[in-house]
Amino acid sequence: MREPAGRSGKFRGRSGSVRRRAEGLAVRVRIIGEKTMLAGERRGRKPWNDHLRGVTMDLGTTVFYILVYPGLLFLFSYATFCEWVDRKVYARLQNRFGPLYTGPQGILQPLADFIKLMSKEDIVPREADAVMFTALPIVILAVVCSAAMFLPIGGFVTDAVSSHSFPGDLIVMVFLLTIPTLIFFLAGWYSSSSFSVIGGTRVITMLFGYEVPLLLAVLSPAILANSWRLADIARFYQTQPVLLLPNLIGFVVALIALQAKLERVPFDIPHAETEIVGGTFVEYSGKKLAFFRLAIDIEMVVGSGLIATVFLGGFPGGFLPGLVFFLVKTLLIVILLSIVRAIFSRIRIDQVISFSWRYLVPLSIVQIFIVIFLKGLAG
Amino acid sequence: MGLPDLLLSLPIVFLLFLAFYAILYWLGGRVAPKANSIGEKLDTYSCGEEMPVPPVKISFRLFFYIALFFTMMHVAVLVVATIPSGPLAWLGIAYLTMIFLSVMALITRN
Repeated sequence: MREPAGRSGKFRGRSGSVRRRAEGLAVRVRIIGEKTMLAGERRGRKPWNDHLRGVTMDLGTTVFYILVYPGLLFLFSYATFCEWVDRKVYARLQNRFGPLYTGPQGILQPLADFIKLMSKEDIVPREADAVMFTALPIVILAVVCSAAMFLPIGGFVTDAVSSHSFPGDLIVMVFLLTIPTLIFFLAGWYSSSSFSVIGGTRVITMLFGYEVPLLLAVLSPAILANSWRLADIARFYQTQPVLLLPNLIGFVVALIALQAKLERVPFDIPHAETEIVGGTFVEYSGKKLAFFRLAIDIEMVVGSGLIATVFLGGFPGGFLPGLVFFLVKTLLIVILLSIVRAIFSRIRIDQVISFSWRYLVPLSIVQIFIVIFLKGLAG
Repeated sequence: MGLPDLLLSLPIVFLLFLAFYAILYWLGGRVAPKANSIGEKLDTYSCGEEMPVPPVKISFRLFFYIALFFTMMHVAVLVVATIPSGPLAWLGIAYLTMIFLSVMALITRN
């Protein structure tokens, strides 16, 4: 009843009759419900209301997982928060203040940037492939968010979601984190601008450099834990924290590879502003650029979550302690990445490749040597 | 497999996220002003010059080196990582030495 009652006599009469009818209906519904329950109990079954409540609770938990934690809402807010931390640390190391005005200490600045970009007009360049150009930012966000659902965050590995965690999800996670790189390449390619095409080829070239050491480094704790399932690996190192120490080399290699995967300084060659103005993202503006930036932030969260799971012992202890562990460990990694970003300058593309072949890959092979040696001793 | 498990399986959850972000994109379009394509707004960026998009050439010689290396490492890792603990693990070390030597051969050749 949107019309306030009592404004005119005509409506007052009608609303009264509607209310009577509704009350009658409610009584009838209650009677039907009780009758059904009685019938169910008489046959010795659980009342169907209870069963229905169980299903809706499971469904509610699932929807909570997808929409709130660790799904969309958590990822969005935590990714913007991480971007703020990153910018703040980066600025402080350069003797600047970083974001200050939006929210306390400028904490809402990444959100403000996102909203500002979302409200800009939507431009597709004439040369670009319109469908791919528009679809790629949406797909990349969906990919990184689905990768995030594999993180064994506290309380997530329960019966309700066991189908999502399976032996070998480590590999799935690593390959899901490769897809954003391919999407950057395609974004550059379909923009059909000289700068973006050069950026795209640089993305792919760099992928060949860092992907192998990352995979090797991430696998060595898995070999030691004798499982390729993220939750099992985390649990193994929670029971034996001392065994985290032999994986130290792998941890360093994985951090460097993650920095390269996120295309941050010193590996920001694909969108080097001083050479190719913006690389893959030259033609992107407005909503699409906002989506790409958000996707990179979420990728940073997921990547550091993966490294924290594998090298730092995961996030033990149920829902709330797990959340606290997740925040602390991933923030530690994000701050480390920011420090690396601040103290190095960009290197050339061939230097990236030779650096990762000459140093990262041998180091990760040495790491696997150590782990297999330990396994041999244990056997 | 119940409905919650199905909802959380990778393809379904991917499609859900895809739908969500597509809707977000559409909502952004409702908020944003209509694109008015005056002047050279729709031209590709080329530092203010009139520049046709050049045909792209990728040098495949270097690419094959990298691709070979990439494939080798992936296969090696899959073999090594599935080695069970125990005496068989020593065989893994021999295998890894071979991989190491071949990687060195690739690197020194370059």
